[in-house]
Amino acid sequence: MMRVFISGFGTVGQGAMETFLLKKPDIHRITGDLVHVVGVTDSRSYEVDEREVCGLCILGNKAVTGMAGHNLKEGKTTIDIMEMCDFDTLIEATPTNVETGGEGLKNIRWALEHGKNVITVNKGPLALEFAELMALARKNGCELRFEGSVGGAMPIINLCTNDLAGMKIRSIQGIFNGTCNFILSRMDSGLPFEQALKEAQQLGYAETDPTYDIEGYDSASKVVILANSVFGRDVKFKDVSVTGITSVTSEAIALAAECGMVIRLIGEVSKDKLEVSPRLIPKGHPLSISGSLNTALINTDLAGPITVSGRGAGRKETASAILSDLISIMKSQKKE
Amino acid sequence: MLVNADIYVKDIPGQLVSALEPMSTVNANIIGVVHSREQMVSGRIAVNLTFDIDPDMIDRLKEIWKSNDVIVAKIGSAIDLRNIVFMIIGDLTAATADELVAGAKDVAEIQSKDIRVSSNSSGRNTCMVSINVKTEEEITALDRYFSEGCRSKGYTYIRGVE
Repeated sequence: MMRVFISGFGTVGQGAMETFLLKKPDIHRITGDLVHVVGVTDSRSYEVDEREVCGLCILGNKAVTGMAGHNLKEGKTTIDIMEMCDFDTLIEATPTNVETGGEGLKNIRWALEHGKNVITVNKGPLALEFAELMALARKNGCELRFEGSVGGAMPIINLCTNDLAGMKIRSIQGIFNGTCNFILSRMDSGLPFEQALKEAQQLGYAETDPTYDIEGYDSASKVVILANSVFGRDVKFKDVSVTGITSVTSEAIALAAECGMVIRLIGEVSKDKLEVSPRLIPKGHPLSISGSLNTALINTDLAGPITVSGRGAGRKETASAILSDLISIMKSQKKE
Repeated sequence: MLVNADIYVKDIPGQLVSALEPMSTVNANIIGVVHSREQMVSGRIAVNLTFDIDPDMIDRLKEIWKSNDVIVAKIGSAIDLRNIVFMIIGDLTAATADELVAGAKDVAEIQSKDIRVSSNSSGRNTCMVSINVKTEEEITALDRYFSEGCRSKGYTYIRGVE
């Protein structure tokens, strides 16, 4: 049995819980084992049960009261609550903080130090302390997996590290932020930046404070994760050269269109490059896609260029990456 | 710029001279001439020329050849050129854009260039630049030159993808 603890019960945490309930038969068929969620925390409450918490009850409680658990945290941290129950894998889905790593970094450190596997979609801790966290996982004989942290449902990390094993990956260029791509795509249709941003906010693609997306910080976090996990580099968020899309004008979009090009916010990583910036992309190029999708162009020595594309965010979409990581952990533990 | 051209001249005395003499008029330097008597087309002989010329003088040369009854079948760079396309956004004018691009001659031998400027009522103008050079090293040097030049002036530099 795989006992799971979920820290952070926003969109992603709830999506993970729903997916474990929905995919129970498939998980059992693939791994021969069951997943039991034994603990859940959000910012204000918690729920623990050594056997299994009631997933449906927690989801219902969250929908009605805004709190996942029946117990108020009252000064307790997620670490205090994790100490209250025995589990195998932490699913870390607290909000991203790229400046300090936030509560997520503390939770991941604690879990790895105590030999728990960690699956995270929280980019902050990985963008800040990737090398330290991977070393902790190795030292304590557990796994740290993070497929959902880059590109949501778009499979890229496991694709590069497993499926393309043995190949030299020369570079990865990609659209790693759906919000920016949506805004730039709408600008292609003639909307000014401010209007395109408002539309993105109305449709739920952009936050009320869109700084993290439009200044390129979200993409930069993902570029760091790719650099460290795929290229074996030891870089941090501060090492990325970042330019956002706020300076892109309607005139620039129109001039690019006259020359058969579009402007897209591209993250680029290779053994010596680490950059997020608006780029000119010829129409028809794999990176010229419109809308809120994420896309990555992986340049390899043997297979040539490989393009992957998928939804970069969303409840079910991100949960799909968490499920994939969890099944991988369960299968590898089965082998052992 | 090193140029290679396939031309056809009439097979009568003095015609080859009418093709080569204009070279001095446009300050071109002839590198090689291959005169192929076996390639006769409609009473004309094929001549392949390689010469070094200022790119701005190519159209003038073609005009002279036309007036001298020299047929140009093909003309183009004798070497594969590398192209860099980028955009600059900021409070720049056509003059400052020209100045910035002109300064690039210190880091690369520019074979040809195209600059387009689009103005904006808010003062944030856009300049689209396409430059041809001979080597990959020159592309790298130009990229660094424009990237640093734009950063120092507070412009946004938008490069293409390789």
